[in-house]
Amino acid sequence: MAPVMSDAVLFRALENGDHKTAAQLYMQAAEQAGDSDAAAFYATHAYVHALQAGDTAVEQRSGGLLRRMGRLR
Amino acid sequence: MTQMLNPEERRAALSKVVGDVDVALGLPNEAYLEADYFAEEKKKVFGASWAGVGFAKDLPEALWVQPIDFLGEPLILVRDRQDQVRVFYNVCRHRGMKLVEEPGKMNVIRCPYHSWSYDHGGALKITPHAGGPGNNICGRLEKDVTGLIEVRSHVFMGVIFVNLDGQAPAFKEANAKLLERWSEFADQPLTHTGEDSGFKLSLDTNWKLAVENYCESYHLPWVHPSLNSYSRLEDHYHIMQNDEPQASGAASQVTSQVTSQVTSQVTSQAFSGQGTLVYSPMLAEDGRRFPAFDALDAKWDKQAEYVALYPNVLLGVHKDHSFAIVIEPKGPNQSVEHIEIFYAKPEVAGADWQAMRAKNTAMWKLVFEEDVFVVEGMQKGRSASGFDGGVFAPAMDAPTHLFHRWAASKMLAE
Repeated sequence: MAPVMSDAVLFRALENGDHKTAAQLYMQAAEQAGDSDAAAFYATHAYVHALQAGDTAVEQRSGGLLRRMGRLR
Repeated sequence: MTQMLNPEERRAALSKVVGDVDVALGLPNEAYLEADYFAEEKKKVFGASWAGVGFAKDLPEALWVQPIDFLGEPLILVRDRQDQVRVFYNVCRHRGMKLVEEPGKMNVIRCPYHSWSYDHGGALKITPHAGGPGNNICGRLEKDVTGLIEVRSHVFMGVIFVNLDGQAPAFKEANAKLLERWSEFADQPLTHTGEDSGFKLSLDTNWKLAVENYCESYHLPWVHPSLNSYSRLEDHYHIMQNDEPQASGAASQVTSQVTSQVTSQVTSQAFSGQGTLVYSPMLAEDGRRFPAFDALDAKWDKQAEYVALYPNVLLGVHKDHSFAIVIEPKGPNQSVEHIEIFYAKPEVAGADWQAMRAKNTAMWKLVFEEDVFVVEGMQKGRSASGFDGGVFAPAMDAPTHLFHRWAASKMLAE
């Protein structure tokens, strides 16, 4: 999987417990990923961080993407 | 020197406890000293009953999660999105990881190991990568059924009760007699005013001795001289929910309650304690009083009652405030009393009541601290191997004996 986001920004967000930023970065990576496996991987992380952040917009986007791919019930 | 009894000796000793108050002995020493007995109590006494584990006020808003340890059981107290208090085991259904270490508001309950995530109703939201990288569907898992394991719970008088074995009658059924007795208080909203209305006491004693001492008024003139200034021994009466014959003696003749059965064959919860007919401490020099609960009978102008709701919750009601003490058993000879005071009206939380609140808290703290040397002294005494459990003074100790009898009956049950 090719890196599609800034690792430094992501790691800082994870270190700070900034789930909203992490969710958005992972969602961005999912939407820019070159293949479905990578997209599903990133969307999974976007979904978990969105749940923690209470970010319903990213939760719905990542969850919707995963469901369309048959990767989330 | 170990005080542990073999099964036959224990049965014989406990059988002496469940007799009538005028011939019974108290619980044997091992009930206060031995780890094996304490471990068995976890199942037979606490697990089979509705035990107090915390306070609803510690879940200040929806989505709040409070981890606790109760008798070694990791639990989380949760206020769900509908504002209902719920209790779950604090363990992930996946590999048994403890889920929550610190209290707080959280949008989801996420396992820190593989990020399995649960909502506040315990339902699984996602099992990340469980079906392979990027695939969150695992054939073996059903999101609706592999959720957190819920523990039956109920909130009463601000206290969160749980029934660990899931077999007790519903709380309202099990405690129908107390709910009836205190019907005027039971559904009243309570106001907790924060840190100035709570404190805790760490005690070098077995949890039962804190209950026993609370049950009776016999010790008041000796241990609580400040209380005696406005509430004399003869102003107190026994409260007993059991099948005991009515005890004789001055203190018991006012309103002893002799109602339904409470023995090893009966599953309803038991309680005992005492009441006073002259509760009216002066907390403000200008005569100001806390506002009272709505629609109380006139008898509560001066009356107050103090009940030990077995096994481990001590309650008190007055016309203007109540309090609850959750006794946390930490080991055979270690307990913590968590004491919280609740007021009848929300305005009492205001700054103009602060001084009176502080005085009320200080008054109760003094009373409960005065009991510390007693409950710790009885714990020390229990190391006397020649002690037989002690006798009861039937006129004064009937509520205490009722607790002994209930606790012994639970341990005698198969």
